[in-house]
Amino acid sequence: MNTVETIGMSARAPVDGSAPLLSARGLRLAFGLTEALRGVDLDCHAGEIIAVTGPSGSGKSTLLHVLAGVLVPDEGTVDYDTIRLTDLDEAGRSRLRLEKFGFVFQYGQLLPDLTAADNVTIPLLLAGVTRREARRRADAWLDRLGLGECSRKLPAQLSGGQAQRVAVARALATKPTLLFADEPTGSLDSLAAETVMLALTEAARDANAAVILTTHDPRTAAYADREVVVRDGQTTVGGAYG
Amino acid sequence: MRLFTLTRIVTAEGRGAYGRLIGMAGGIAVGVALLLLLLGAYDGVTSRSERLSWPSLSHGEWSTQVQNPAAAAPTDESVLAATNLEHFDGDEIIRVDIVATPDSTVVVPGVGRPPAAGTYHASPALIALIEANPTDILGSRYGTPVGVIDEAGLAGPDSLVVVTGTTTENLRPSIAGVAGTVFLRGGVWSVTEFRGVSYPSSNYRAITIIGAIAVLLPVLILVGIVTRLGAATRAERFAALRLIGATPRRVAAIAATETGVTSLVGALAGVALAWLLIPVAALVEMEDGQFFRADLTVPPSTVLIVVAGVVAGCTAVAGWRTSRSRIGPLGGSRERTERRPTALGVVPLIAGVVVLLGATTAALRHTPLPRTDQILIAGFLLLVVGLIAAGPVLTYWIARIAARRAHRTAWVIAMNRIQQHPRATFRAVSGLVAAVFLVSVFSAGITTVAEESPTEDADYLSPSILVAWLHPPSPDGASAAASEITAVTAATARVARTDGVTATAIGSSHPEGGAVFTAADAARVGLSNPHGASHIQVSDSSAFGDGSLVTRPATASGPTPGLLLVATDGTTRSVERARTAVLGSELRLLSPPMTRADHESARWQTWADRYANLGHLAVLVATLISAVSLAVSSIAAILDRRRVLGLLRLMGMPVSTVRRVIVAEAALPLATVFALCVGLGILTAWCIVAGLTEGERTINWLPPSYYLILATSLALAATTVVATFRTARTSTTIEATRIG
Repeated sequence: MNTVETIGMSARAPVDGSAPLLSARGLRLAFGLTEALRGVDLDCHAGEIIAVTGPSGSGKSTLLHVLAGVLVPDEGTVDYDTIRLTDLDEAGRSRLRLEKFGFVFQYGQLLPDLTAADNVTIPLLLAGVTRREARRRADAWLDRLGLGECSRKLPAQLSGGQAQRVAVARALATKPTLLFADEPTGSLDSLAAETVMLALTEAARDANAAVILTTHDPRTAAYADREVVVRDGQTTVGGAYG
Repeated sequence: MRLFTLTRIVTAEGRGAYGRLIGMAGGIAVGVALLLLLLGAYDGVTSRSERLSWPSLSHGEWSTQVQNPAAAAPTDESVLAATNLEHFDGDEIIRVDIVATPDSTVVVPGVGRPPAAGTYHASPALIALIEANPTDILGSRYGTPVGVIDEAGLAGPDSLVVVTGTTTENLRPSIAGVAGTVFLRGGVWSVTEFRGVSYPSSNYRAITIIGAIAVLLPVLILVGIVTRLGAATRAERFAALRLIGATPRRVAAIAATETGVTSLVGALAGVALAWLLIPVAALVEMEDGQFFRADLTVPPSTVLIVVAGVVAGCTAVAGWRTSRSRIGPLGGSRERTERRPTALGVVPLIAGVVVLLGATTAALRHTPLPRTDQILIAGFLLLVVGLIAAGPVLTYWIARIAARRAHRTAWVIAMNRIQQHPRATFRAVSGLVAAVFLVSVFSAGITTVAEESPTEDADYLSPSILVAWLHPPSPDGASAAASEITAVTAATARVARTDGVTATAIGSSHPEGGAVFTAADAARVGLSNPHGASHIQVSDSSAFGDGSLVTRPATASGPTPGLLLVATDGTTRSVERARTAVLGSELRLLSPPMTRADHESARWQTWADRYANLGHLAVLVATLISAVSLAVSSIAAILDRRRVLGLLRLMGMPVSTVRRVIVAEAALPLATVFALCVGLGILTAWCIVAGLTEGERTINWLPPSYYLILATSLALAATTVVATFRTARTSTTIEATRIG
């Protein structure tokens, strides 16, 4: 499995000759007097799974949001493929998130009034897919993640693990090239967490999607190709792969 | 004390929490203020009726009718009085002529001692009218002004009342008339005490009930909505409390305390708001005009009962609702879906339609059910309740169909939300629905008066001709009669010289009733003479009041003058100048001169003017409150889902989609029942009008003002929804996605 890189080094991917799918350089972001990010570098290659770990309040989620274009850094750049994310306006970043990225969160991420299948169709509808095609794809994803019988259920009728797998299906339904997962197993017991992580990583690998996930759970981090530790707003470069 | 501290910590910490509590208190304040104003108006009309009715001289043992006024005389303990109804430019002036001794002990309400002969006291509104017009148009009717009638003798600040002092010789007997809601007895009366009676009319009670429903229903809905504000956030906090060991009873107590304190603050603010609004509310005309501010002031005991009742009610409901919601240790994290509405919800609506149509059909067949009026009101109330009860059912059905056909993201989110929460969604627009229904009933109902407006037709007497019936001459022999004829002729000649008078005609009394005019006189004032007869006869009051002018050939009648017609050039000034000239002449009038327009406008004003203001005000208030309810509900619906919507925005969903969700969630329930409300409102109005009159009356096309009100209501709803867009944008940012 992976190893943790040493403190003080930037979290760049190992040199294998390919250009990174996502590349962040010199990210700095402060909330008032609090410096959440203090010069973070990070590369993520296509199909790679990176676990961002660190203690609570270390800046994991902030880093994830900056990489996904949700937050704009005070300094530094984020490049996705050939697009400089940090130069885009809000609408441009939203479009990029919708078309190229997928998201999985810890809590409250499913619309409570929509069935599992309808929840999965939302990003597809936003991307302009017809309702019929969206439902077809949603059902296919739910089947693939073992949730075929739950497609007509409301989130309140699902277990925590099932709801997270629905969220994974929703995140992957638009065939993103990069998946962001913020504490995807944070609210689950170990068994459910294992099921979700297996589903997430397998589906991501099948789709050749890269994954950047935050977690404080070493067992979840173990599913990643490498681990990047964030402490006091700086990355400590993680390590060994596979 | 610990309960209060705990409540403050749990429910009132943080900016959002304070906003929620302020919203709740604000809603309750509006409700309490309107309730107090309604109660004040109800009491005000009762006390106003006492002040309004004193000129009607026939109440009780303190007044007796004088059979022969010429032989009567006042004493120090009694006065002679006659009340007449005069007109000026479409307004009614109550004129009380009093003959009193110099040492009279009789007290005239608002005046004190009776005025001396040739002097008068007038109400402030009439004084303003007199001062605004030349003396020969109005002021010279009454003599010399010596004082103002104060509030004790007036129905309201816009009342037109004059108390004149006169002599027995000049005391003009009156005929019966209706001033506003007061029936004025005719004749001359000997009065020992002027006293009014309290008589809130049954019409007023019915209108009050409808008005109260129109205003209070949206208020109750608003209070219901504001007390649910931030329910999701609060549920999470309560769940956290349960997790650390609080019992359900303790949680319910905290919820009740929070609502109790907030509703107390809101209720006290409502009392202050009502006090501030009294001057504005006093401007509203109802039945007999505007109110004095004191009329609308509610006694402290009533204020106390209202405040205590509202606080106790809100507190009890909050505690009960929290107990019933069974918030468990994990209860805050999952949203409850509503119980699916069933078809039973439309039963009251159907029952209301059946009751209304049944009672109306029986009335149209001239076999009316006993107490048809009460059955119709019951049907109306059933429909109001039925619309509110059926709304969620219909909304659910439509949303279900719409959800299947939805293709847009916003539509999918909104339709599914409505399917899961049909009652909450409909509640947001239910106030508006009630307002639209009530305005439809009201607007359609008052169209029945349109058919009564004065008709301009050759078959009718011109509305600009003054009609004055003359007192029959005293049977004192031929010489007296001759001198009276001479006097009438001379007085008429003086009237004819008045500016704006184009012709006069004196008709002689006919033994069978009515008056006979020579062909020449008839032609001068425009009476039709189709057969070219030398004389024509016109009938009594029906000729100049209720129907078309019917003339028939006649032979010359006796010389006794019975009817004076004064034709004018039609301008208001000319009509009023001529009226003042007639009133100031030596003519012995049976009643003040009137035009046909005066006569008819007095009748149809009863409905159109007196209740239209109240109805439109009720609708305006109901619509405004409903708009606030809609805004609060829309914002609450977004705030309750802010995290999920924030996460969707984080995933790339544009904020415009959130806006479309808000629009769809407000538009669907409104659109579902809007046409139904309009249709049922018009049907209800027709049933009430036709049912109460056994088909003698019906309703007409709705006036443009109705469509204006509907458009205003919809525009207000649209504005309200648009106003929530900012909340949609700011509350679904990245901060919303954070836990805790």
